[in-house]
Amino acid sequence: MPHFIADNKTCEISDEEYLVLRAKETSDKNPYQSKAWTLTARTLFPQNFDVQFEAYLVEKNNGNSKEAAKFFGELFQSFIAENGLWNEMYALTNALRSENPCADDIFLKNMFSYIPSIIQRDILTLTAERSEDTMEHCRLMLLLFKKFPQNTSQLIIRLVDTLMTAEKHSPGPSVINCYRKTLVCEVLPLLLQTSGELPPKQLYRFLHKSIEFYLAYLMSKSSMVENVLENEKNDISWELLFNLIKMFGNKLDWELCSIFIPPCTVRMNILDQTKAIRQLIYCLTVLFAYCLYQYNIALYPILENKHSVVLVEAFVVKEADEILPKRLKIDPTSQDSNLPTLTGSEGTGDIIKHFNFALKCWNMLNSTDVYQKGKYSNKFSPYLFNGNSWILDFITDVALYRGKFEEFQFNIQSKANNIRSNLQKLTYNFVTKNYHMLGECCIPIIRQIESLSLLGNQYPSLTEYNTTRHLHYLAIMKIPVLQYVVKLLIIMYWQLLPNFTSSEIDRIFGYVLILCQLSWPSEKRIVFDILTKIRNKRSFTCNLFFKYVVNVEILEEFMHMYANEQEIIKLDLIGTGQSHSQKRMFTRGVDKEEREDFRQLMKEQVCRQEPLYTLIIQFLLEEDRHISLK
Amino acid sequence: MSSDSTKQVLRKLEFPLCVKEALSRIEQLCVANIIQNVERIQTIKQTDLAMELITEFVFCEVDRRSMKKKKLNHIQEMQLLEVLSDYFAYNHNTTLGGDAARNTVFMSLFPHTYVERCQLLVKLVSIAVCTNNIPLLSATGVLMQQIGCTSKFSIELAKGLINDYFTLLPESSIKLHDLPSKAPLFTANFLTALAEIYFTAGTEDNPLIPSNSLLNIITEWVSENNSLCYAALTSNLLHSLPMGGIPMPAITPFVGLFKWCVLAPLYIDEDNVNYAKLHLSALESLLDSQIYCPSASQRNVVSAQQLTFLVTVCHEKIEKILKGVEIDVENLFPYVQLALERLAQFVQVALHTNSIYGSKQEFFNRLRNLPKIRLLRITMSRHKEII
Repeated sequence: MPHFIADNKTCEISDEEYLVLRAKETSDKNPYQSKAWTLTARTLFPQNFDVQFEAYLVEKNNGNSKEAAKFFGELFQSFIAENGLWNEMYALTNALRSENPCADDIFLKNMFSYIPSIIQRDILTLTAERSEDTMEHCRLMLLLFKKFPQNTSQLIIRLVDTLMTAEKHSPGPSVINCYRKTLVCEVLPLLLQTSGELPPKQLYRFLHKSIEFYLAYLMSKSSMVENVLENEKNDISWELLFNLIKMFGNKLDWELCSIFIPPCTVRMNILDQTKAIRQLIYCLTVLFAYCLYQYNIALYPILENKHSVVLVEAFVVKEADEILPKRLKIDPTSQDSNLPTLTGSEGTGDIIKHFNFALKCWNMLNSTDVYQKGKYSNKFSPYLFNGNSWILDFITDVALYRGKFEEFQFNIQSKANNIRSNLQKLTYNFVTKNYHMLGECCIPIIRQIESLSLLGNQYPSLTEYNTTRHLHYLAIMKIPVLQYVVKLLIIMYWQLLPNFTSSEIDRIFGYVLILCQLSWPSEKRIVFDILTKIRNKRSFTCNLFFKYVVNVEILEEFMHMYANEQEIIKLDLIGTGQSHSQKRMFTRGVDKEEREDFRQLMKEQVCRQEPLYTLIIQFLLEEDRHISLK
Repeated sequence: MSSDSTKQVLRKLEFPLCVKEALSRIEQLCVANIIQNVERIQTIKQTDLAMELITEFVFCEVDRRSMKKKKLNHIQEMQLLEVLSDYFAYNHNTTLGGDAARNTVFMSLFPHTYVERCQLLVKLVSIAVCTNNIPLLSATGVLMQQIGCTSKFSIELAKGLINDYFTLLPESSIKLHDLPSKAPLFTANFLTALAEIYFTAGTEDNPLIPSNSLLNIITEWVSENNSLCYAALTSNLLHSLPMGGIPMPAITPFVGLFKWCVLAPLYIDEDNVNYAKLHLSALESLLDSQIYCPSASQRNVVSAQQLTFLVTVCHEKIEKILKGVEIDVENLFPYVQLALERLAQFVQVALHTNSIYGSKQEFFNRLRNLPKIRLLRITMSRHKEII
């Protein structure tokens, strides 16, 4: 039986609507039929938007981007006032900007490519003009500039103005906002690439805005920044800033431009020679910020399995007088030989380079010449100094480096009780010779060592020769920190030796003997000093001896002392805390059995397996109440 | 050289060498006619000689005493085809007279009065398609146009090509696919002849219907070569014809193709999407009529007479279907509605592009009598000032 088409419902609709309906009806089942309808309809009602739009939709639904482009172009030229067309225009321009295009977007993108370029241009311009949202407007204009870079510089300047006005009216004083970001990261680079001459005043204004934004962004660690620019690909980097400054520099005929070709440090000396104060200040500010950033990254690496670093006062031996370093008057302009020597633990990387470089910029920025003429520098200082712990860390280290210990102490005193600031306090007391404070300072550090996850290695020598001072970037890992603490404890005991009573002295000798094992044989001389002192006073009691002394050379010395000098020296090396059944051991009048026991104990010590550092940490933790000398 | 001495020389030659030699003599005669301002009597004499040479030495239909000879055997026929193919493939343009000479020779070889030679022409054209013999295909195109694409000769040629050759080729054959771009005039005229054959030949209730593969290749031709249907209209034959020849009015394949699409739903039960596709391609092509024929006075794309005939055929068939069925025009059988809608779409686009030529009064009369489906009403009201 043949079917009848129920045509009743179509009676009331207009001819145009009828034709569109027929095209829609057939579009799924038979696209050719559907297209025949739209084709006929278009010839019947060339002025009717719905009819013409349906022709476009049929092609779109069939995925024919080429044909759809043809109709879209015609629609754009004839029906620009139609809302239906505008919805499609927005969809199209959204698709063009989309980074993760869906199937629809891909179709629209494809279709756009088939539209004649003059119409493409008009589509983008008109959509941009119509968008009420400034950001939307900007994105469309940027799209337009990217597709049609010719003769756009006037439009770009207009866009720059739009963005700056929008920023002025946007809430919040922060320079990190979407308008500024678009201006600095996208529009200005384009402007600099495409435009011809621009007035220097304007260029400086743009440059200023750019630096302001980048510094504020790059110099802040907080996640606040990420939130403000949400949904944006955050590809803001120093390289981009450098590139931008290079572009500005080229426009402004800057002689210092080349400094921003990485690695920046290589061409540092051109800064010394320049007379161009204005560009010097801009360049210095950016370079200083960059070094500060690098320095901070080195101090507090964000990577996992990476340790932070702290600058501490290390040790100097002068051939002439082999005593601890004398504080010297530091003059920043003096020759390198008078400056402290800087060393770094394994894994501290380029930190010394960054420090020196930052310091050089810092000195130049603060030099009277620049400072007086540089009415510009203070404009950026908020981004360098305000609420920024980076600069504090840097000037703290600079104070230590320059020997301004009061300033150093002032900067660290308010700091939290973490291992880093405890090490700084320790170093302060050491460098100011508050030896009796060292032990007290070491106690919290010893407790915190346990919580460090990374082990690290001993630094070959914390002592430098023939230099005024020696500063060391200490890796905050178990062994390096332990090495530094132990070294300071030894120094403390040694320095305070004359102050101990004869009843205390054996305990102190014991402590020093135990501690000297860690960096053996660098403390060999002290051990031999102690042995001499024991021989001189002819007695030595140390109940920790068999618990902590495992160094073969030390054991051999005592073995020798026991075997050959027992007539003269009274040795008591068994702890009083030992069980009652064990007899106290005296070197005088002992029987053979006891001698054998002593030998046996010595042998056992030699055979002990545990790592030295755990033994020392165990010692420090168990004796913490006594080692602080309080 | 007198006619007798020419024949004497040729008679001394073996077949198929005599064919080759005869062809060059015939060409000389034709060229002489074209370029020399000879007297009329002389011309007629030379034409007669050419005809005699063709009969005796090319097709070997008579002997020296003009007595009928027995037909060439298959091998001889093959040899003849080879010589003819080579002659058209390689000789043209190198001789004086160019296209005109070639076409004159070709038209002398295959005058429309000799339907017997048509079988041989079918084979010759088949070989030409196969071997990309473009000059021969062009000559065939010109010949078809001059004697009329819907003439008996052209129809026979087209039928022969379909039966002997096209049905044997795979649908996707690249040779067929490229034919419109290589030999547009031939393809267009061939298409016009083909379009005429189907849905006309056969009985009234059971007309000849094109095979699916033929339908596919034709749809492909039309949809991918927008200008194809206009080839006959846009080719200027003035300089390709024999001396004094007048280019005959061209017929486009449009009406024929639309006839297929309009009548198909009335004859074919299943919904054949191929006709929808062909219909759309033809509409799209027709929509471009102003591009290919910018001058309105020369836009002889759709003949009013042919169109009237199509409307009549369509109407008669529908009346036959609806006979005895009480039915409202808004509730027609879907296939009848489809047929009428296709017809209306064709008429609308043809009117819109101003492509109909000839006296339209009869056509409009017929149109008014058709069942008034909505699209037809819309179309007629749109063009009410002329209808």
